[in-house]
Amino acid sequence: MTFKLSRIQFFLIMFIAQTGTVSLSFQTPFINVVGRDAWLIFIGVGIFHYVLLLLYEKNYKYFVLGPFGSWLYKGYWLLIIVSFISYIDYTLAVWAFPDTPQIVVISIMVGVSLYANLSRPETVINLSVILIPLIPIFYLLLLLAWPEFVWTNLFPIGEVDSSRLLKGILTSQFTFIGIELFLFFRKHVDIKQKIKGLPLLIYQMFWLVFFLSSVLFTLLYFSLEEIKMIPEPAMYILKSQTVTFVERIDLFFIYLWMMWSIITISLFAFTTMYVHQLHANGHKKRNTIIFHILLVLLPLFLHSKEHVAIIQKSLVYFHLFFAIVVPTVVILMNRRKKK
Amino acid sequence: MDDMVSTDSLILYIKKIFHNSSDLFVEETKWQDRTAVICYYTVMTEGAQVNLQLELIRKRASDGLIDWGETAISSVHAFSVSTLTESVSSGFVAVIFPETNLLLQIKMPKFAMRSPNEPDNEHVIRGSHDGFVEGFDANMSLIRKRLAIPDLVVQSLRIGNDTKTHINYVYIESIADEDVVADVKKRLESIKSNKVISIGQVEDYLEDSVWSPFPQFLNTERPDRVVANLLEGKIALFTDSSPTALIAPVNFFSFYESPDDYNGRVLVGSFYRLLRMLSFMTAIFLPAFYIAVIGFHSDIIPLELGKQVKLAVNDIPYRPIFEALLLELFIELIRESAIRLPTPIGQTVGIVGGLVIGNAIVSAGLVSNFMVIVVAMTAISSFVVPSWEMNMTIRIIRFPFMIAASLFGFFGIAIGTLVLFIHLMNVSSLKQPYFSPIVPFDPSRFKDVFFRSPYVRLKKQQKTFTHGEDKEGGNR
Repeated sequence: MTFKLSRIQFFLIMFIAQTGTVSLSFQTPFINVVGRDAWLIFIGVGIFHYVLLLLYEKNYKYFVLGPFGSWLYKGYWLLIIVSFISYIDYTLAVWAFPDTPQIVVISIMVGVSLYANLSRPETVINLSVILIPLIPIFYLLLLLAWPEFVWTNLFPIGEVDSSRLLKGILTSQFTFIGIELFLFFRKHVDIKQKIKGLPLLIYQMFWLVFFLSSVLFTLLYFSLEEIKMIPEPAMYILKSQTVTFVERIDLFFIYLWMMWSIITISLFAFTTMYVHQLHANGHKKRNTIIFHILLVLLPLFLHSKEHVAIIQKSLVYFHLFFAIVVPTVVILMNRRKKK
Repeated sequence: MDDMVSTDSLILYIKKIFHNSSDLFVEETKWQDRTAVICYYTVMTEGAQVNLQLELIRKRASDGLIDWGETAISSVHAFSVSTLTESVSSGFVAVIFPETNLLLQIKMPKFAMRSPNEPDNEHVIRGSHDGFVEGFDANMSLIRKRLAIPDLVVQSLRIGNDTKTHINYVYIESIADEDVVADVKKRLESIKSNKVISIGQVEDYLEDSVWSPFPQFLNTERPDRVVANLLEGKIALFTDSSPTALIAPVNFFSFYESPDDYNGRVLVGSFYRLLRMLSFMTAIFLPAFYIAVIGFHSDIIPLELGKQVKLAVNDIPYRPIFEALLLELFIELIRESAIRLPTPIGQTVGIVGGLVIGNAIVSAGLVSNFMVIVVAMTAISSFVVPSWEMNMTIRIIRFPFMIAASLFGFFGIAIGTLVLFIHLMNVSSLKQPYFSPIVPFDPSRFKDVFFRSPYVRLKKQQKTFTHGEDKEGGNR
């Protein structure tokens, strides 16, 4: 699989992979743990995210995986996709399709990913472009709630203790999921285009503003007691807004988010097949089809919201292992080998 | 003619080759102290003009010129049956000299030709009002009039064993991508069909994905549009019998550009280009959106409007999808009949169909008035596209969206949108990305897609699907 990325394509892949499914759900568990300090802590978490990106940028050339490492990552991404699909299916069942069989909704979503992944690599790479006009619309709709924001909800700050702080940082790691794609796709970026310095900082700012604003909107709109009962705060904010021609904006947004998530799934599936092709010869089409059959079947085993929640909670630990531990080990080993 | 044959037997032989066609002229004539046989189709060549040319050439021969047969419109070849049939079938005059085994070919075909009027399907407000006709020479003269440069190249070949259709491809040597030119030549030469009748048939053979609903060649009858595209490094194809030129490689957004954009003011041109892009969305999504709202998501409509919609829809005995399909079918019937009928009657059909039957169909309770508004708006949106092929494509692809919306509501539309988007990303025109500048994503080229920038600038077709150095076609 040979392809070349421009800087913008690379950052767009990163952004959509990181924001896709988690953008709707990470706020509630995070704020539940750290309370009003959530926005302040997330700024700190953002700095950690940037440091991680800088370290990746400095060492990505040393990140070369063997077949065993590749299989580990493939398993990790399979887990991510299955968990995302289960969550999307669950959310759609709540908001849109209570009676439609799970397998129908999942098959249709996975079918789109299969179609994209059976196409040229450039198709998946550029698929995120469709979301570019939609993301600002989502923000504009959220901003409709501006008159109802209670600014005093942001204060007082500094009430969180160290154990809750650690727990909060751990919960905030949901927003990091997908960051490891940097290590895999960085080498495909046009060497004439700079990533280090300002471009990386701009990407970091986009990421930070996106997630931080969603935390701020949630804190400003709901009291802490309310947040405990609301799993998808952005959806509820939109549900409470009306514009002249539309009564339920949330119904539009749920499908926008679904498209966003399907593209995220397609990107993770693409990355999985890309890494698989690094150590396997041929049969790309067959392998892609088999992988997508797994993507239809595995979520069917997650019957309830509890199962989905367990898998999602465990994702954070897998993420720490695959985004920090494994890259550190691989990079250190390869650096040493090179010396 | 290996052996000397008598003139009479040669005439008989020629008549046999052309199956004694009554419009074939074959006569013996005196040529200095020898005999020759003149042969041509009377319907394709004017006899008086033939005599004048023959007199001229006879005089050259009697003056003892070595190249007596080589004039601006005549040439001498060794005789062969294939040269004879090809010459006469093309409307040339063939003069055969049995003694010397030579064939004098005089190119003076006469074809009925209409005047180069503005094409009915590509009107512009400002700018030139001429259009192509059913003859390549006349069409090429319209192009050469606008491009007085030696770099403008025409290449010709004949395809189809039975029809021997003349295909010409035109490009600007210094701008066109040589790989694309070679590819076009290769594709044309590989057409194995015996019968090539129309330019549309040629398009089928040249397209990268013939089953895609999206046209991969821009069809136009306007010389100014061809010239603008040639200057962007594209290739134009013509047949002798059609006023339509095929232009490739093109991208999706080329179909939304009109010569009027550059004839009008910058802001006006940009506004209408944006309006056309918006019309793509309404033409495809509006009926599907309405079906989804009525069938699944009626709670998104504000209460005041919702009450009226419910009142209107409650009286309709069947589901919105059938309502929409019925009206769409009705619109398509009006459109098709209006094309086939003479213009004044066609207009009457449009008025009777649109107003009288449209009103009656609502009064009869077959469809709601909201659905009439939606379908009418959709039809108008689809007619905004400056390309007839893209217009037809849009009209067709809204049906799957309507069905998806009737089955799954907004979910169906969202999934359909993704599938449509992926398909557009996969399509190529002469192997170059059709959905450029989205594939490969290049924000710097977007302004030319949505806005008409001041001063016409050369926009080259994106050459590769991937981001890279050699990303633009053409020799720069």
